[in-house]
Amino acid sequence: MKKRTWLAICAAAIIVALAFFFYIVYFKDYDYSMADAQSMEADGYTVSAGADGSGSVEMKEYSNKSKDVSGVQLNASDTDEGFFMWLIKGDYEIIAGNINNEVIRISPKSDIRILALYNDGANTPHANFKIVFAALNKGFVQTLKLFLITLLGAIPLGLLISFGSMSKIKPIYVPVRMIVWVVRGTPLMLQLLIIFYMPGMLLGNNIWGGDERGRFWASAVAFILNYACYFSEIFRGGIQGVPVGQREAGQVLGLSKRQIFYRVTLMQMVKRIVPPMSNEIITLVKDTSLARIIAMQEIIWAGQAFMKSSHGIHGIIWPLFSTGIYYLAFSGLLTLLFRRLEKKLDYFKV
Amino acid sequence: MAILEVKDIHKHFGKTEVLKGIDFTLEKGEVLSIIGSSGSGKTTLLRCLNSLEFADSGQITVAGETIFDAEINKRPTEAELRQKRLHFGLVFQNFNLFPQYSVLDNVTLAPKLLKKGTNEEITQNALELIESVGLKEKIDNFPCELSGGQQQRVAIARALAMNPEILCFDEPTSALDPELTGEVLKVIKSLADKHMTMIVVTHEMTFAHDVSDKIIFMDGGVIAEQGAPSILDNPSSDRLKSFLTSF
Repeated sequence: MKKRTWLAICAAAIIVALAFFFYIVYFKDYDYSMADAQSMEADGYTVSAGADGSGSVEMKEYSNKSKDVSGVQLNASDTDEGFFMWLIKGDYEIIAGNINNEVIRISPKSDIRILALYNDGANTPHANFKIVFAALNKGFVQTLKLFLITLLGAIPLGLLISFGSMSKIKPIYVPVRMIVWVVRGTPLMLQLLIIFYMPGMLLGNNIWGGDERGRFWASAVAFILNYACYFSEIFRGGIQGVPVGQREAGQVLGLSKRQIFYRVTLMQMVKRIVPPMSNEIITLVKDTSLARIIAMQEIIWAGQAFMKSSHGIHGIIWPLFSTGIYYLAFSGLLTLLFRRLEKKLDYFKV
Repeated sequence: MAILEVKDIHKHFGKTEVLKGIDFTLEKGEVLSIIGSSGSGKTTLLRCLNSLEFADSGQITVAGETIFDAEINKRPTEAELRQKRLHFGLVFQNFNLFPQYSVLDNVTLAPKLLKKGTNEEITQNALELIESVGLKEKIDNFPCELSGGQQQRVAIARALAMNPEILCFDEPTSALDPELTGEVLKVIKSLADKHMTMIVVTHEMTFAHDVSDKIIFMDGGVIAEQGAPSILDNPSSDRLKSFLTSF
C-alpha cells in the first residue's frame, strides 16, 4: 500500500478514536448511570436505617422515565457537598415535601440501596480531567516500575534457566524443566495470588506487608519468575538455533567455550530472538494490569476506582477507558524501538 | 620423524563401527588426499584428528606429541584440549564463517582472542593472508555478501591465521557451484606449492591426482588402498577400481 494512503488511514483511525472518546466523556456518563440504575445493579453500599427506624435524610427528588427508580439529590447534613444518587422506590417513604424539585424528607423503610453516587458539581468532565489524569499518571508510574523491574530480573534469570534447560546434568535439567512447565502452565494471575498470600498462610503473617510497597514487590517476584520462564524458552530456541558448525568453527580455531558463546553464538542468538522477545515484552506491558488482583495500584486499578469513588469523583467510567491511551502509546513506543533494533542488526544474515 | 602418526583408530557411533582400524603417517610438507564414497568414514577420521570427535581406541601423535591416546582414561581438560586442537586447522564443507563479523574480523578474531601477537601484527598477518587468497577488496564485506567460493577462501585464510601445523579440508568444494570450485582449488594448490602440510578429503579426483603426494582410499571404515597418486591411474584393489568408474 502507498505510504500516503497508509498515513491517511492511520490519521482517520486516530480521529475516529478521539471522537468516540469525547462522545463517551461528554455525553455518555449520565446515561451510563441511568442504565446501571435501571438494571438494578447495586454499585455501592447500604445506608443503614437507624436502630429506632429514624434517620432521615434531606433530599430533592427527581423523577425519571422509569417508575422503579428515582433520582434524588441528597444534601448530607454534615457535609457541604451535594451528592446525586439513584435510590430504589420502596426502600423509603416520603415524610415531608412533594416530588419535583422540592426539598423532601424521606424515612428509610429498611436499608436504602444506593445505585450510583455522584458528586453533583464535579460530574462535569472538564473539572474531572486534571484529577483523573493525575491519578492515572500515578498508576502508570507503578505500571512502568513493574515493567522495568520485571525486565531487569527476568532477562538474566531467563538466561540462567535456559542454560539449565540445556544442561546434560540430570539433577539440574529435571527440576528446571519441571519449574518451567509449572510456571508456564498456570495463569500468572494465580501465581500472583499464591506468591502474595501463601507465605502468610504458611508462616502465619503476611511477609509482604499490607502496604503498596509490599504488593509491588510481591508482584515483581511473581512477574520476574513468570517471564523468566517464558524468556528462557525463547533464549533456548535462539541458542540452539545457531548452527552447530559455528561452535565447531570456534572450537577448531582454539577458542574456549566461553569465548565461543560470547563472541560467536551470542550475536547470532540475539538477532534471532528479537521478534519473539518484542512480542513477549509488549505482552508484559499489558500483563502488568494483572497485579491489581493483589490490589497493587497500577493504572487500570486507578482508572476503575473512579467508577465507584476516587479522589472525590464518583461513578464515571471514562477514566478506565482512557488507560487504553497509555498502553497504546507505550507499546507503540516499544514497537518503534524494536523495529530500530532489527534494522540495526540487519548488517548480517543468520 | 613423521609429523602425523595415526595408529589403529576405531570409532563407534552407537552400534555402528565407522572406523575399523585406521593407520597412516604423514610427513611434513606432504599433501594427503582422502577419497572414498559417503559413509566410508573420511569425515569422521578428519573430525577425530581435530578433536571434534573422540575415537574409541588408537593413538594420534603430532610432531612427537601425543594428542590422543584411548589408553589414557583421563579426559583432557578444556585447556589441554584447546592446545591439542591448535596443531590442526580445519576448513569445513559449508565454510562456517561467522556471519556477524566482516572478512577481516573473521580472520583476526581467534588470533586476537588468544593473544597470538599484538593487534597490529595480527591485523597485518590477516591482511596478507586475505590478499594471498585473492580477496583484498573484500576485507570489510560480510559473509552474506560473498559468493560460496569467496567465503571458502576466507575460511582458508581464517584457518591459516592460527598457524596450524597441519591444515585439514573437509570436502572444501562439495558445496560450491562447479564454476567456483576452481578458485578454491587454486588456493589449495598454492598452499601445496608453499609446502603446507595438508589433508584434503575430496571428490575432486583430478585435483587429488595433481596436487597430492599421497592418496588414501577409504571404504567401509578401513583404508582399502593407499599410495602415490598413481594409484588413481592404476588401481590395484577391486574396490578402488569400481569406485573410480563413477568418475
